Amino acid sequence: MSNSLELDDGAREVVARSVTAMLEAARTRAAEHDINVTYAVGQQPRNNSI
Amino acid sequence: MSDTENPPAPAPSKADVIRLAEVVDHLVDSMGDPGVTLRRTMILLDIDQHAGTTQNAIGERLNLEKSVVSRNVDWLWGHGCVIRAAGKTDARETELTTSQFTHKHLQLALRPFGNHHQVLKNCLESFIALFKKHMPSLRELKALLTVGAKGRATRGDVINNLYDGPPTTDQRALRTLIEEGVVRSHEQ
Repeated sequence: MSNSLELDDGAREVVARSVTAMLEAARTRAAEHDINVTYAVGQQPRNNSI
Repeated sequence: MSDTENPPAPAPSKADVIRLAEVVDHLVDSMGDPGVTLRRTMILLDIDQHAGTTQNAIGERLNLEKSVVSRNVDWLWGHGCVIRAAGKTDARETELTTSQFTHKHLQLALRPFGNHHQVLKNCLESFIALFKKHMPSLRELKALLTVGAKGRATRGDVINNLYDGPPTTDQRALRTLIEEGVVRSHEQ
């Protein structure tokens, strides 16, 4: 028997709000300075298997 | 951030949650330790945002007691993350800046946030508020985001995305998330 894990509703909401804030901040900066806010090849921190 | 008067935030895409998890990885790299608390990470980000700041100013901005700021700054200095210098106007004051190595990793962490330190600090603060008894670490935040990205995850999924630490440490991180009620565990 194994356990599956799931976020609580409160945690799910905080993740959603954090992602929204991140995307808004990135959009603002990209609009102000015409820059790319995504990671280039080689800037990814580790080989994520999520 | 979890204001009940506001409508629920739209469900994020898996790719965006993974990007947030990558930010955590860069924060870990900036200090070389996934066990660092989110509070200490906020202090580091505050120093990076306000280069040449003082411990008193950090305490005022983050609403932290002097002893808390002092203990965390000592750790960050001892691990080469911040540099101390005598104040230019008052030699009794110590000015703090992030070291070049740490600053470089923080820039990568801040990139998806458009280099807005304050927005990332606010996000960390909202994750801290999820925990009732425990000050969460970056390891626990990464575990939480892994579950968030997967929707439903196994323990193996989460541990494979942590930082190759001792198995007992990774298991303890998961146990903390469950005990705090942040993550629910279902038997299959």
